[in-house]
Amino acid sequence: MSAPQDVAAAVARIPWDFETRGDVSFHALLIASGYADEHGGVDVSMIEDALRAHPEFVGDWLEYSEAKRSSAGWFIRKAASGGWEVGYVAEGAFEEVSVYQDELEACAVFVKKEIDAVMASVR
Amino acid sequence: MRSRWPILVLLCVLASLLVPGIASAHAAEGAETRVGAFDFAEQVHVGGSAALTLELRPGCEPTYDHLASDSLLVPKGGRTVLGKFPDYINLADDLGAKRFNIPSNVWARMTKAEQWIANRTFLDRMISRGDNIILSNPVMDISGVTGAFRQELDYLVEQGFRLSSDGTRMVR
Repeated sequence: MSAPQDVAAAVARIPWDFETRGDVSFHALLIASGYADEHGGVDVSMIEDALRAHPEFVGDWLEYSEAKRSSAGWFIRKAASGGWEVGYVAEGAFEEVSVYQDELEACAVFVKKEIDAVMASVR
Repeated sequence: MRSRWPILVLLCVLASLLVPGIASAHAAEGAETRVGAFDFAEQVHVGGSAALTLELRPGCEPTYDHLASDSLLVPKGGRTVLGKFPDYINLADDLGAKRFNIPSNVWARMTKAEQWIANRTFLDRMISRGDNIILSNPVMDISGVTGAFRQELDYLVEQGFRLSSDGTRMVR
């Protein structure tokens, strides 16, 4: 079993692997990261640390969010007023929208919400 | 009163033969089976949560459910919104326009290549309907766009579309 920090590091690079490999689903990459076994031990701060170690993955998460073509889901986007919005949209209605000034913090929050949602949705 | 069921069944069968999407879907089953699967997963929404096909063909839903939007019964010249998530969802709902979406649990299980095949199928249907194509995120220069939205715009350019002068639509 992997340490939570290792799982967080593997999670942080999922959109990069998803984009570059092309032949594997986000869900499969999430399972391969070990998150299914360690999701309780991987928190937002751990993911944020992993992203700070590899900030180049933040842009991949932003593109991953923008590329979604589902009617409901978590998103991260630049807020019109500055900062970064993380929220949930379902059938056009926004829920739980928070604004962060730090892009890495916003991205870590989004990542945690997203991976938990994917784990829950495909069980 | 005599039963109308035989007539309804006959109409459904005749419509099945007339709608081009059925023929193409069947032809694709051998070579591109997974495309057929995406056809089933795809849902085209018009200004809310109701599936277009269910509204259009009462009584024939099981036969036509996977046809999505390329029915002869769909009026020409509708509106479809493309753009970044979640912006395109909101604008489509505001305008009562069509938008592409797949259930999130299905989307998460698709590879990048599979997602594009499903998306391209939707774009092809949008083009064949002659929809007005509205962009939720105005674009002045396609080269500055990245990701899936860029892929959609590039595909439309390949099909003969270009940006409108104000960057809010793709036009021919």
